[in-house]
Amino acid sequence: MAAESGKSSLARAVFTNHVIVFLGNISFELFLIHQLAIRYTEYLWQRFHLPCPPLQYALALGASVAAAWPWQKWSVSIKSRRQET
Amino acid sequence: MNNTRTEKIDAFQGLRGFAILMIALSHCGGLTDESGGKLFEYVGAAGVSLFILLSGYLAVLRHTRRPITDKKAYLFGKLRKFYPLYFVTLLISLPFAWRSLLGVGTAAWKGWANLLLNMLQVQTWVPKQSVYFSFNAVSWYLSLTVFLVWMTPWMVRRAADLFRGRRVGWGLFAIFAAEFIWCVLMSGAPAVHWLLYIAPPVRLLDYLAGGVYATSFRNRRISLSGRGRMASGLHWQRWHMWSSTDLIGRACRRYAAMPAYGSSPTPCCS
Repeated sequence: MAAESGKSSLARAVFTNHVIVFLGNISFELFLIHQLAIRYTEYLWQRFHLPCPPLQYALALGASVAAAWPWQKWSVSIKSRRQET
Repeated sequence: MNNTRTEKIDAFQGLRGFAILMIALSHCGGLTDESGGKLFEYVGAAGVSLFILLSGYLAVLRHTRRPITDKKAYLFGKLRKFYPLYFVTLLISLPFAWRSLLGVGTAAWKGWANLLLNMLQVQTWVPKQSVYFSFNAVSWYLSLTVFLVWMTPWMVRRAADLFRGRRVGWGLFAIFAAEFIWCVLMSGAPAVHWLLYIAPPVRLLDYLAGGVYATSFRNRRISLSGRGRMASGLHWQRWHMWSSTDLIGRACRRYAAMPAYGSSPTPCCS
């Protein structure tokens, strides 16, 4: 909202930041996937007694983005194909 | 698509991006401070509230221009959009529930009943944490979304009649007063987490609040194509949107800190 108001350049920079917008574009897919990715990495970390939880979460969220992005692209292409027909 | 239009969509997507970031970080339970407290424990609830508000806002804006003529087709279209991934994530979550599913006796029956409720996307209606957070825990939100989508035609049609002109302010005040009173009244009740955070009729209030913001935008007759007029309308709403998110976030924090919720054996999955 703030970004759209055209009054705050900081808000505009934050809300139209490419990374944040990218996360927003894949937000639905990311929402459904991230919790499972965290649970699977938790299992791995416990199984192999690995230290450093930040690394575990970085891996989980990275894997979530890597899975969410192609799914989002695929669903967009399906939608546009439906609209064409 | 011109720059103005792209920027408008980017701004909404940016808000969504923030919301999902808040939710994902809140689920990183192993990230703790020096005292052992979770670093991002409460931001997830505000992220969920932001998602719901934004959904209500956009639903009214979109369907004012393109009215929903066929409710069933509208609901089916939405389901077709999100059910495939929902189903895939449900399958991926099955290994975590294999003990109950392959067990014997009551536990097995409960496991299969939960699976059925998840497949039908009605788990949100059962006030038990072991049910609404079963399998892929975050999928309770999709179950809620089905209800909100089902209510959207009503909201788009009625919100305009209920909240004309100055009634918008009163409408928002009524919604937030109702939420606050509900939080106070239910704070000691059994299944308090469900009553305050999960229950679809309660969450409908958040969705309706988003719709009322959009109605106020519509009441001002501001064209989406006019950048200047749009900017003034959205600037006017900026404070309202963030203040409500903050208000709901505060309410969420209030009950999230309750012992009954904090001592739950299931990890928090907002």
